[in-house]
Amino acid sequence: MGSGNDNPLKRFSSFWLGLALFGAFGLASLVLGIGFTKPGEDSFDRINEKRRTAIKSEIEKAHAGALEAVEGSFSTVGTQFLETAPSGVEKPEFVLPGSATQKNKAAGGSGVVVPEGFPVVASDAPVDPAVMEKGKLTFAICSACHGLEGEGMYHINKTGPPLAGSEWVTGPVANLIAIQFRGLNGPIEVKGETYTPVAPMAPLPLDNDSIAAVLTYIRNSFGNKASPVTPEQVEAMRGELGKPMLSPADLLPPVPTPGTTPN
Amino acid sequence: MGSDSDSQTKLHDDMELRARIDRSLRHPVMFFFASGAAWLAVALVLGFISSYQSHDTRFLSGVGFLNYGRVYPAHVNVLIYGWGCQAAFGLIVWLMARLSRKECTCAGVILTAGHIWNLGVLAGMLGILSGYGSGKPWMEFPSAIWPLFLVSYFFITVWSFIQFRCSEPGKTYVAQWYLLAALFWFPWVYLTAHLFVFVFNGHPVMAAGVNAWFKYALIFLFFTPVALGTSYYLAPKVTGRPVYSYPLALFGFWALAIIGPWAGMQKLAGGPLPQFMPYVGAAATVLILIPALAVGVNILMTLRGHEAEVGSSPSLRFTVAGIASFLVLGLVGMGLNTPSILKMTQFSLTGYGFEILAIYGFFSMCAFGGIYFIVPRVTRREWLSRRFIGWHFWLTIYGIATVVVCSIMGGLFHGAAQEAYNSAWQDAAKISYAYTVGTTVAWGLILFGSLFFLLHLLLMWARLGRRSQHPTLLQGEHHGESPHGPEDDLDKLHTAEA
Repeated sequence: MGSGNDNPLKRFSSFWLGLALFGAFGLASLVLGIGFTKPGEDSFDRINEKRRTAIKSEIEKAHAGALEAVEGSFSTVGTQFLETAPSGVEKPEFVLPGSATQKNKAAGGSGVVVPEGFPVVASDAPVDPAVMEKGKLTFAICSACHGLEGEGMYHINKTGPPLAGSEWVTGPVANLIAIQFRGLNGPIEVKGETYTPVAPMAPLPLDNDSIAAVLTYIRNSFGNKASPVTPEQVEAMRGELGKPMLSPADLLPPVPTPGTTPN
Repeated sequence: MGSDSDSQTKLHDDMELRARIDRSLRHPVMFFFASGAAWLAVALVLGFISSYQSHDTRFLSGVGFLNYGRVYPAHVNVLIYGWGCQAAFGLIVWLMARLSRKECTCAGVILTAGHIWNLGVLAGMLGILSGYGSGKPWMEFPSAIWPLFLVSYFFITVWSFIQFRCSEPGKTYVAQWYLLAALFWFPWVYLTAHLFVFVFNGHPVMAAGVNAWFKYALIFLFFTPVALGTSYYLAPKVTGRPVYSYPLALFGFWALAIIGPWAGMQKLAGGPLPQFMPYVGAAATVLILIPALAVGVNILMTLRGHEAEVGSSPSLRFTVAGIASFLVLGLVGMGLNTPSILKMTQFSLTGYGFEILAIYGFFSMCAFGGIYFIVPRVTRREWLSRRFIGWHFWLTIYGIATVVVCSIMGGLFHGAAQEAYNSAWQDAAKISYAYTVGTTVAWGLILFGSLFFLLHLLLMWARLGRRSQHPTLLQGEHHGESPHGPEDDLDKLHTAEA
């Protein structure tokens, strides 16, 4: 009865009709989708991806430059520090004509130069107790390395050699004043013993009165006995200031050689 | 006497034909129902875990493949493609064959395609759990799977279309409209959405819009027509009376066909889309109440006066629960899509509650009704235990009501708290705490109930059901008048002839 409607041809055509209807919307969407997609045009995601990649590479490039700068900066900063480090002024135009410096330079030596008319003080000249007190106070700085009794701290921490009984202390005054102005470096022989301090003595250019007082104090304490030092003598040695640091070879010999003026 | 003999012969031929149809479809239909029920159990376990994690973030947090971001999409996708689609296939295949009065000649092809579909679900679930999910709601299976699904869908359902085309010309049943519509709406929705999301280089915001549309289109254009087709078959069949109003049925069908496709984009209200799009979606979801009322009134009026059958027949009981859920779905859809409430549904639990109401409260209940009707016919055995059916029904009803109420009500409070921009967001999370606990407990109940269902179904497939002439009823004795009519009393007829 129903076989007229149910035959292989109908079933076959129904299968393909079904497939066509199932896929019709998809096909329509596909046509629409392909129609509205311009060939060669990047998708939204792709555009964003490209932008992200570009930003990333830019950042990486900037980071690489910064890293180079950071690595290079160490030597740059070090060089700059070295360049800006303070040093004594040695320009010839700053040297006063006729001064001790000029004469020293003209002589070409770095040794202690005793200027013309350096005041002479008699070795038995009286010592002013007020000057001694002032010197004692100032000596507090020196005692850090040389000891409160001038015994020297060398055997404790390899700093200052002793002042007590030192031939240098009771020797020429010009040496002591020059050391205050220029500092002293290197192994030095004191009382027959060689001392090699770990650090040089730094220049300590105080005012004339203080230097005179402290030098008078050390020359007349710890068992030492020598002439006092006057501010005029210190003033006369101002030409030493600004010269390179001294070494023991630059100093005048502590024991006067025959034929020279004992000072 | 001669006419009596003629009618007897006609009745006999009729029964023979039905028995042949049922026999030809036994394995495909039982395969879809049983594997669907198994996937349902998996989906419920995953739903329980994901719901538990929503109020206790430390739960299984040490297990990488079971973290919330993977378990939740696995739960939803297995529920839809593992259970929902396969139950729908079983219903479509059997109902279409019965209504077109054609035996199935391609059971082997259907079974093969069904196995491929199941492998797809398995691969998809493992893909999501191992971190290869696509991240697009309801399309989370890795994108290699959707063409496979489409092809196996074609080979599962095209035979139903052929049966319809080759059936005797004459009256087309209401159920057939819905089933035929679902048959073609699914590939439309599925293929279009996947092409626009995965294939074309569209604007990503528009892809999100298509994705939101896909969810509601799948609900209203596939699960809804299948569920309504089943109900339009069962209600007249079991009560033995015609559909209450044919014009109303026609109206309800075309109302759904016209309104359904517009729904969905309200999920993106306030998003960077042309504003008419989400509001058209919201308006369409509000208007779904019209077909819901038409169908609900029609089916409930068909059942009027048969309250005893509704109480005793498992099929009718589940169907009535499903149709009632459809009415609730229409009302809730109307409530949630008014502009003042819509903004509270965007980032809260509400959407989940609405989807579960549609997939489980409405579609699955109607599908359970169909399954309780179909399985005894294809296995020629009656259900073993009315207690199992009762447990399944009550646990599911109470469970689903709890999930839906907790998710929708909790979601509204949750959304309102999120709108309070001057208080900490954590307060909003705290507000939803009790509701998520309720949802977890309810998923546990539903899982328990559906395990009874799965066990029962497997026993039936193994042909361990009762050998009886009388259907298993929830009330009264197993003997007496069958509300399902005399169609399956083939043995009795043979006895009478002998």
